[in-house]
Amino acid sequence: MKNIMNVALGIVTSIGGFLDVGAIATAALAGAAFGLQMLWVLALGTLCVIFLTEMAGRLACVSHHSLVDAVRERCGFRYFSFLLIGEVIVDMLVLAAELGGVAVALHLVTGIDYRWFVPIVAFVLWLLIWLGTFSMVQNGTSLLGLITLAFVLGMWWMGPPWHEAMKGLIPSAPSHDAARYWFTAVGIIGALFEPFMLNFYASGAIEEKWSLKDIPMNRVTAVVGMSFGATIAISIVILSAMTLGPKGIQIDSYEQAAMMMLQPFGAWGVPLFAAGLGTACFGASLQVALNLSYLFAQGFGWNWSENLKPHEDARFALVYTLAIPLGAVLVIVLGDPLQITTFSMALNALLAPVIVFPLLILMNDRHYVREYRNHVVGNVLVSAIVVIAFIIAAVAIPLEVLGG
Amino acid sequence: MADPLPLVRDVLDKQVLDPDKCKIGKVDGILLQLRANRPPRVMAMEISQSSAWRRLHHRLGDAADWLRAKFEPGQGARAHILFEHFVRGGIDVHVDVPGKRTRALAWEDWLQQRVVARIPGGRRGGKK
Repeated sequence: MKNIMNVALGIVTSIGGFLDVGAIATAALAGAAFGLQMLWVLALGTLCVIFLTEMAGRLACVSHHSLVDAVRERCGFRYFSFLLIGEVIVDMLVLAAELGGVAVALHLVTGIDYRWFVPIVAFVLWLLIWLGTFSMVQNGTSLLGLITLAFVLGMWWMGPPWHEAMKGLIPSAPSHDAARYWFTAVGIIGALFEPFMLNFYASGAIEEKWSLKDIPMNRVTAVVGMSFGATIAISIVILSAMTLGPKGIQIDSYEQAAMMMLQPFGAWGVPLFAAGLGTACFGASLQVALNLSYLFAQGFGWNWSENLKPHEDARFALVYTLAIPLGAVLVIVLGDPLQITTFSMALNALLAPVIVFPLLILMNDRHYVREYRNHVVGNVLVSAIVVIAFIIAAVAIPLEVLGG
Repeated sequence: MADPLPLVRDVLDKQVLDPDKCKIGKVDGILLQLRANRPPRVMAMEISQSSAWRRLHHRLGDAADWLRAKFEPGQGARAHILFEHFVRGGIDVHVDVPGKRTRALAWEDWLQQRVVARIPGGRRGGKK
């Protein structure tokens, strides 16, 4: 019974980890601009992220080392320093985007400028990490994140065109606005395998003291949890395509994205969208802030655990204590949380190979994973998708930036 | 002949754990002792950011050394653990000297006492 509970909790946690400001924003943008044509990107990305999550969890179960820990040890300080710099830049942008997402959700409900909420959200976030344990942080916010199932309900209410949705699962080139199409595709991929999520998942497995007997649970969690998360993201694409697309609404702000919920839920639509966005972003901002601490602590070999009082791992606590206010300043200074989100998601796709290829090396290293090494299918599939995403990102980001 | 120890594979960049499994740091550098008319001897493991950044570029190492000399609490030499305290290598390095007896935790101790302890909820140690 305890195992079943653990698996259920793991699945709920994965949904919470899967769905954040990036997944919601990129799915809504894709549906509004290109209908159901981009569902294949979501499906392909989900398949890849299932493999990656399972690998990160298996590494932790067998070696009791997290991904960053093992990358520093296996690939050396030179490689780790590139990863550190890249991940700090991307994670800070993602943290700013998530904080902005929560603030915008509060703005949608109250009508007050979102900037006023940013410092309050940042303080509550810091307080939760400072006082809370890993399970409280992880499971509490993930359970709250289940409100995002409202997107699935909304899609069912609208009666989705299943035939067209199935056609969307077949890869296709855009009929118009190619640069935007590929930039959005990169954003979707970036939102799916955010590098912070892989290390956070592996660190969580160590915090929860997973061992060899947890390998099957890790597999079920990765497959079912990520698939459930993808179902919600697909629902957002379909909902956006059915409600915003026909009206010619191109999403430029979260206010416009919220309109997708008006048709199925009427007056409750905007508060429901805000609740989904707010809880998903708050959960993800906890994960990113903690991951920044994990990144430094594991990379430099400091004591770390969210279950310890800050006195026991002072440097670990210092990193999130500095990162959270900095993220808040970033979102206020840079403005427009939606643009920060789409840009940081595309950067995620650029950074992905830097963390995925060492993971593949580790997952084939007998010193770390003993006989629990990767099969060739996982190696080839993950490498192919990540290389393709990197190439598209390298081409699409300059095109989108130059095109404004 | 005793088993050889691949220093780069099994020691450099590995996590250092003391007898209580406390994380002291990573092995950022390895020091050799040069001896007249005799082969060099592996002397110590360095646990210091400046040693790590120096491996990237000597100017980065110089900058880290300057920062350390200027700001590090206690301001002594770079933290290192003599190789005689080495117990075993692998994916972690185990040593028989407590972390508190090395200089590697100078910043951790300073932050504990001067910063964390002054924030509400940060004074006591242990589990949450």
